[in-house]
Amino acid sequence: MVPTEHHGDQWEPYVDNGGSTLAIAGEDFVVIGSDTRSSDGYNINTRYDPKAFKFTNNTVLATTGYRADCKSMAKSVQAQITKYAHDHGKEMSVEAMAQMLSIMMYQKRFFSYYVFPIVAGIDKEGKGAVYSYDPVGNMERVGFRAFGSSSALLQPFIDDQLGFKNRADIKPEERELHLPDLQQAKNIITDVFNGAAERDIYTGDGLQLFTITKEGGIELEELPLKRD
Amino acid sequence: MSITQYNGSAIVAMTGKNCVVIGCDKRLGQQALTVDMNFEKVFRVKDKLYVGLPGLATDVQTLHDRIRYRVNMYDLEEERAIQPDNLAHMISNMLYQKRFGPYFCEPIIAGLTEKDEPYIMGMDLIGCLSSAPDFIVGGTASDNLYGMCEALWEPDLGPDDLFRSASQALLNAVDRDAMSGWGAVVHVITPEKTETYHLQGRQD
Amino acid sequence: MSYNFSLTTFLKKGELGQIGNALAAVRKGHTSVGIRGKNTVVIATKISDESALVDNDSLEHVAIICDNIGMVYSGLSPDFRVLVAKARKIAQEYKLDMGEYPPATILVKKIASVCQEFTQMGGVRPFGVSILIAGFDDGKPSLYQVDPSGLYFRWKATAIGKHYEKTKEFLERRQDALIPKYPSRVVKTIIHTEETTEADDIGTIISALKECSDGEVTENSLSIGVLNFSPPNQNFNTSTVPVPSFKRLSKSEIREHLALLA
Repeated sequence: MVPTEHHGDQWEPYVDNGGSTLAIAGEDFVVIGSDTRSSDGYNINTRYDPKAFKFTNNTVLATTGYRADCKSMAKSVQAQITKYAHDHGKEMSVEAMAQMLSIMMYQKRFFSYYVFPIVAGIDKEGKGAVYSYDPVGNMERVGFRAFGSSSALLQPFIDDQLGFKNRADIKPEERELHLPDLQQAKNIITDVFNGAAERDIYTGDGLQLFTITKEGGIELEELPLKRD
Repeated sequence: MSITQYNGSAIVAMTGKNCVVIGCDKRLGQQALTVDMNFEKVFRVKDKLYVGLPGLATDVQTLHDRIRYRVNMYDLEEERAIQPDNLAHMISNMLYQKRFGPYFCEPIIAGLTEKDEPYIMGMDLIGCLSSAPDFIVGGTASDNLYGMCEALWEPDLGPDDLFRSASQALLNAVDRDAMSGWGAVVHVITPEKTETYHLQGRQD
Repeated sequence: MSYNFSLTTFLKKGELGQIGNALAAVRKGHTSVGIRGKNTVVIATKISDESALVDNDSLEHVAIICDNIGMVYSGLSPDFRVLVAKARKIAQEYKLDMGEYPPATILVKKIASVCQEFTQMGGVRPFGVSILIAGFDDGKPSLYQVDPSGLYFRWKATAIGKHYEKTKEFLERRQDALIPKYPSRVVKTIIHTEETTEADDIGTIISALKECSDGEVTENSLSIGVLNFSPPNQNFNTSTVPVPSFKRLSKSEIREHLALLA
């Protein structure tokens, strides 16, 4: 549900601008998909408002929720990352960034950012890493995660395809042995985003597909999604 | 929370090549409290015609009783098997008669027609019919089911593949919905026979 | 003190006098004929011309009940109008409920039970009409007769009203003539008109009325209704398969059939 800006006479500080994000960690890569629509109720504010931000050559932050909070939060993160680079003479690792974001969000515990962030990157061991959060900074490292207005549509499918839930062939415990390759991960993201754009009015217009690998750094592909 | 979500439910119907499936979860709850783990919400109307009733459990039972009454009367008066589209109209009317004090239930009909063509139909709680060529979902896990079905459904699946798609859709959808789950029942309807499968799911 | 408002009470000999009287009214009415074909039903009536000054076009003898059902009557026309109104309502209510028009049997049963109620209810009299109903059951044509008592039959071909016996005999003879290769006795019980075409049936009906009813038979004194399958995508019909349709013949169409017989 998308809350409106005014609820009776009471002023509402938050708006849900819709949109969806989905990150998948592979053995040595991460892919992050996010749509580019931003809406307010039945209105589309813009068809191109990217939700995912590249921070270092190794990390991407994907956000859904209230756009203003997303951007404000991203700006603060960027500032801290730049400061870190100057202070330490090296880029921040994805683990450090994940931890930092959790703290930054919890510092606003009583007037939190209305944001559902995903941090993705390659960890120190060279493995794909995905961190997901709630709006007050509760962090979890996961293999895959969907957030946003289509999360209910996306998450059960990746539970099935990548978490091997309710499958006869592979047990969920054996997930690590059956990690997707890059192409499989990309295909899953494009497929489910097309499905989500079909049913969810808040998801659509364009799909941004970030690929992070150790060798290649960050690559961005842009694909069309349904615009209706 | 809407009263349609008080007891929790998940129902999906899918079309295939000369076959249809319809399935449901088995949970009955009172909000977060699980009361019954074997509460089926899909009912046989005829051998090749089933109706799924997602929504408020008391209305599920009342509607099922009323549908059975109407179909039995139809059998006696017309001496022929009721067809899916007629049943859909009948239920739609039944719901609209209670336009301003509705049953909190959004029925889904699945079956094979006289010519063994697949038929699925959904409606809202006041009987507005909505047809689809591929699948119809309902209940508290409907968003999850939409996502699953949109990814898993493809045209002209045979009964076995269709059963697999519907089962995967149901189980994975209800696992991400707190209000539904506790196993599932899937009916696979083909011209020759209708087979019913009870699926083991997460017991939480 | 209890009152009995029913006019239809049993006679000592076990009959309901009012029903007998209603049937007498039917026998006085103009002749109506119906024939069931392979994929069609034709029903018709010979309009009695009381006066040359009457404009027959204002009278509805063959009534369309719904897309797939039509009916004709012998007896009192005002009573027929009431039954037509009730039949149309029954058909529309059925469609509202089930999403399709009723099969002929269902409509017939409901109309027959209306007729029966009017033989038992207080303060009413039976309908002074017998009706012929043309419809489809399970995709096959049906011809029904409903009497004032609520009694109903299914026919291969029949006649009601004035000279109905003579007309029925004509139909029996005619079917023998149409299918001469069968011994008449067998044909009478097995097949009747099932091998004939719609035009044959219309011809037979016109001949029967010509032969058996009073007065001249012209396009002005005939009312004919035909039930058949209309080809798809005609008359705003969006279906891709043939659907049942009941139509009244226009005067020029009747004239063409008359010309064929001349």
